[in-house]
Amino acid sequence: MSRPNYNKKEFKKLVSKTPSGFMKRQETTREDRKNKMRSAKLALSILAILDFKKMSQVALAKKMDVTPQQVSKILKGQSNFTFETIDKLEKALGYTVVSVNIIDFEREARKAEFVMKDMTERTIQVKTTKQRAAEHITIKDNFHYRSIFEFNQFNSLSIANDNLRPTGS
Amino acid sequence: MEILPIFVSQSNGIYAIRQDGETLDALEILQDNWSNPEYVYEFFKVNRQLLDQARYRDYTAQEAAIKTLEDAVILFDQLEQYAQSGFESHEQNLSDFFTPLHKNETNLPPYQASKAYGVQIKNSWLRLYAIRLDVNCYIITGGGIKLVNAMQDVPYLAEQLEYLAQAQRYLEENQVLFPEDL
Repeated sequence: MSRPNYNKKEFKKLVSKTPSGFMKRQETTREDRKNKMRSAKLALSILAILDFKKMSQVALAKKMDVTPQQVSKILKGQSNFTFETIDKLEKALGYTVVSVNIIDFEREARKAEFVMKDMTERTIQVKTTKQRAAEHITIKDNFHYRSIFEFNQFNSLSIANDNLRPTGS
Repeated sequence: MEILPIFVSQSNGIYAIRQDGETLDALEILQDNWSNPEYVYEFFKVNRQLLDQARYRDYTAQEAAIKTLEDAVILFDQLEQYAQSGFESHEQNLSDFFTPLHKNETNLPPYQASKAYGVQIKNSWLRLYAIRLDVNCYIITGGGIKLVNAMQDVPYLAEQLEYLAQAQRYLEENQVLFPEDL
């Protein structure tokens, strides 16, 4: 299966001694990947706003009072933001681009409590279709089964009567 | 043109081509572009009409850009995994990751053009293009965001076809394949 069908010697001559930087980059980016993805998503939002407002990167830099290089770094997703820069950015763009998730365990607990209370008060009883149908049925006392169709010729009762008829004498 | 090793073990490995006049090889360029939000945003802005096809109609340009960034991370991770799991096991080899570029190719031509679109990435439009030398020996020539049926339809993918052909010619000139195998 792994028999090489190519000329290894000739191929080795072609291969350069300096390796590709791919593996190294993978290693270096692995740790701050989440961080990078977050700042990339932020960059996409900023790009969209700039497009919508027909604003150039240079104009943004001027409004934010930073160098154009810094803006370009932000838009490449390479910037590590401080709250100060985020504030400047939001003022310049007129949009809130970053929001903070507030973690409040007490509020969470209260919410859960409210939901539980609401659920128990309502207590919805789930019935099957058969159960629901049974509510509308009342069985009378004089109920007895009777065939809807009467087939005289196959009526077993009449046949039986015939057989029981005294024969002869 | 130069061939740079990415991951090599014994006679097997993944390589990437560096075009003349470039400082980065094909895979590094993709790695840079597909993690750069500015590049991806510009791409979908320019090629917006390609997203209007039935298959990708649900994506806005913004969502498509985010998907590209996320899928690229997965794709490169998978390539790295395939490389690092070694080439000795019969169960997992590079031929699973790379498939022939032309679907209906029944025989195995020398310097077969191949593609990779990652394992189980939903609606993935990222492609890596490579030349196959052996079961576990591939030379990556480039890649692209493929939103069309035929590569010839858009200039940036037609360019990739040209890179594949160039690499094939380069290997042929240097007689990398054994004559009896031809």
